[in-house]
Amino acid sequence: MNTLIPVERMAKLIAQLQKRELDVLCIGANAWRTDYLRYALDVTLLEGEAMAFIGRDKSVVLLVQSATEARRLQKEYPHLQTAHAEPYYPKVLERLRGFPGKAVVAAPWVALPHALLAHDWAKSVDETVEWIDLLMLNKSAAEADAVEHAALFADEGYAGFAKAARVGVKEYELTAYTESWLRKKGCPENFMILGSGGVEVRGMHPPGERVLQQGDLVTTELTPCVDGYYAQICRTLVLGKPSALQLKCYQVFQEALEAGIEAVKPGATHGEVATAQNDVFRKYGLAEYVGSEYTRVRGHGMGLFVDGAHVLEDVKLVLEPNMTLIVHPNTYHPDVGYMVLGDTVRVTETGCKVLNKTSRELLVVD
Amino acid sequence: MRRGLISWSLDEMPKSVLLQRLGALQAAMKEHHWQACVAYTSIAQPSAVNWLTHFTPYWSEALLVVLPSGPPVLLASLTKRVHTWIHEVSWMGEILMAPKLGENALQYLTTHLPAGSSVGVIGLESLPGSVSKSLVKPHAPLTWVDASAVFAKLRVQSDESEVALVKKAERLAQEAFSSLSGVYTDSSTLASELELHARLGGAEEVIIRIAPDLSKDASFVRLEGELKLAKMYSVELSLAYKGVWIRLIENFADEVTTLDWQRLKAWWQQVVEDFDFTQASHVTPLEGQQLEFVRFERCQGTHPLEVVDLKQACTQSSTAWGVLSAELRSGLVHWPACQTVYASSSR
Repeated sequence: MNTLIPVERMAKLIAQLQKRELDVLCIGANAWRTDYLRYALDVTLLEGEAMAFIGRDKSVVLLVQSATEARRLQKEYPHLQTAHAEPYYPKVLERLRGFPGKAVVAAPWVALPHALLAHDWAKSVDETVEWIDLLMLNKSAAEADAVEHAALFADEGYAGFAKAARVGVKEYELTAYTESWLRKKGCPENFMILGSGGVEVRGMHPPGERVLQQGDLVTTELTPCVDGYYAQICRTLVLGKPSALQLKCYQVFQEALEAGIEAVKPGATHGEVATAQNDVFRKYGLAEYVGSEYTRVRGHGMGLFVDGAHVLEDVKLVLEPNMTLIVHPNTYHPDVGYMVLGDTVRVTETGCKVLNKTSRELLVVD
Repeated sequence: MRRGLISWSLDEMPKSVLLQRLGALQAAMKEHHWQACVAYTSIAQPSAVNWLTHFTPYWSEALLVVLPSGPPVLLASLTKRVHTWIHEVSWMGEILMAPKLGENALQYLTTHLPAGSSVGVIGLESLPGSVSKSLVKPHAPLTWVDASAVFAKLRVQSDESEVALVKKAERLAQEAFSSLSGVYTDSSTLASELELHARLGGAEEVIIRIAPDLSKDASFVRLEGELKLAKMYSVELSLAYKGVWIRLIENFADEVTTLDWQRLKAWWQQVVEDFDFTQASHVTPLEGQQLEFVRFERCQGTHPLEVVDLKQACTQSSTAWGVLSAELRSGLVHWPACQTVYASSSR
C-alpha cells in the first residue's frame, strides 16, 4: 500500500476542521459501515462498534466496543490511542462530555447509534457527512491508483471464477473457490453476488444450493477490496454453447456499456452516464427494463465503500479527474434473463481510463 | 459482507420453531402492553431478525415489525427484486419496500397502531441514527420502549434447532482446521485453505484473525496482505452458519513445542468439558501458568456475539451455549484458546 494515502487523508480532514473552526470530529463505525473510519484512521472494523475522536490539534482517540477488536487495533495501529470501552455507550458519552464549549461534529448517521444521539453533535451530522463525502468522492491520484490496484484483483478473481464455473458445481461452491483464490492473493475482503439459470432469473443474490446446468447464464458482480479500496467487475458467462438469442441480447449490454463509458469525462454527470446506457436499451425497445422494477442502478461510485454515489438519470453529481466508478448496464432481458456487464473506470483529464482488462465478450465455458 | 451460502432448510429450522419464537415474543409484548415490536437488521446487527425469521441480509438494512398477532412484516431497504429471494430463505409475512427505512417504518406503525401505542424496540440503544432519527421521534404519536432485556430473556433460551445449528457451525470450523496440511509459513495460503473448506461446507460467512507469533503476544490481527507466520502462531476462525456465529481457535507450533502444548490442550479440553452454567464456575489455570483473561460471549440481541459477565451467564440456567475464550501465559509464550461451550442439557 502507498503509506502516504492515510497521511494525505488525515491532512485533508484536519484542514477541513481548521477551515470550519471545528474542534473535534467524531467518526462512528460498525461492521456494515466502516468506510468513514477507514478514511480517517485507515481502520477497518470487523465486529461491534467504534467511535474515533479526532481533534483539530491532530489528537486521536479510538473507543472500541469489542474487547477482541480493541486488542487487535492496539496491535495493528500502535500509533493510535485505542481503548476498549466497557460499557460502550456510557464511555463514549462520558468522553463527549469532556468537550464542554467545543465545536464537536459527527458522522455518519448509519454508524451513530441511537444511544448517542441526544448529544448536540447530532445536529451537525448532515452537514458533516456532506463535506466528508466530498473528500471521499474527490480522490487524490494515489487513492485512484489504489482503486486501479484493486481492479487487478477483480480481473484475476473473475478469471478464477470463470475457471471454477462448471456444470454440476453448486452456486455456493463457486463462491468458495473464488473467495479462496482471493484470500490466497492476500485480498482481505470481497463483495460478490451471483445468479445462475435462464430467462427466469431476475437478478443476483448471495449463493444458494442451486447446481449449475448446461446452458445456464452465470452472472456475477465481483468486488475485491485492497487497502480499503473496492473495485468491481460484472460479467456474464454461459455454460456450453450460447444460443443465437443469448448472443444477440448480450450485444445490447455491450453497446450500453460502451455508451456509458464514452459518457464518463470531467464535467459530465452521473445522470448523463446513466442516460447514455439507458438510451441504448430504449433504442432496442427495452425501455421498460431500465426502471426500478428490473434493475437498481446503472453503476455507482467505487472507493472505500462498495456502493458509492449511484449512477441514475436524476443524479447531478459532476465527474472530476480521479473519481472512480463502475459503469454497469445490468438488467433483466425478457428474452434470455438477467445479464450483467460492467467495468470500473477512473476519470481522467479528458475522459476515463477503463481499469478492468477482462474481455467484454460473452464468455463461453465448455 | 455476507457472501457464503444463504439458504433455508426446513429440516434444520422448521417453521414451527420460528412460530414458537414469534409466539414467545408476542406473549411478552402482551405482558408488557406493547402494541408492536421492531428489530433492526444489517450485516452488523443481523441476529434478532434472524432468530425470528431466519433472514440474514447480505447487504443493506431492514426493520422487522412484529404485531400482536400474525406473521412479522419486513420493511426493507433492499430492492424489490430480491423480495422473492427473501421469501425463499426465510419466513415472514409481507415484505414492503422502504428506501427511507425510519420514515417508512414510522408511517407503517402509525397507520397500523392506535395513537399512544407503545412500541418495543429490540436494540434501541444500538439502532443506527440513520433509522432512529426518523423513527424514534419524541413527539411521534407512539411511545418507544427498549425491548432489549425482555428479548434477551427469550433469546438465550436456545431451542434444539438452534443448538443443532451451533454444533453444525462448530463442526464446519473443526473440519476446516482438520483440512489444513502441516504448519504454514504465510497467512495467505493458510487462510485460503481454511476459507475454502469452511465455505465448501456451507459456511455463511468466515472471519479469520491470526496471531502470527505467540512468542511475542496473542493479539489476533486482520489479514490485509501477507503475514509471515512464526514457529508458534494461532488462528481464530469466526464462522456463521444459517445465522448462528461461533468461534474456534487453533494453535500451531513446530514438533518440539507441540510436545509442551499437549498439557495445555488437555487443560483446555477439561475446562470446556467441566464448564458448568448452573453455578459460577471458575476457570483455574494450570500450575505455573498465568491466566490473562477469560471471556464469555453469547447471542442475546441484535449483534451476533456479545461479551457477557461470566458469573451472570453461569447463574442463568437457561443459557444453552456460548463461546468461551481464555489466554494462558507461560513465561514469554502465550497460549490462547476459544471454543463453544454447552450447558449439560445441550451437550
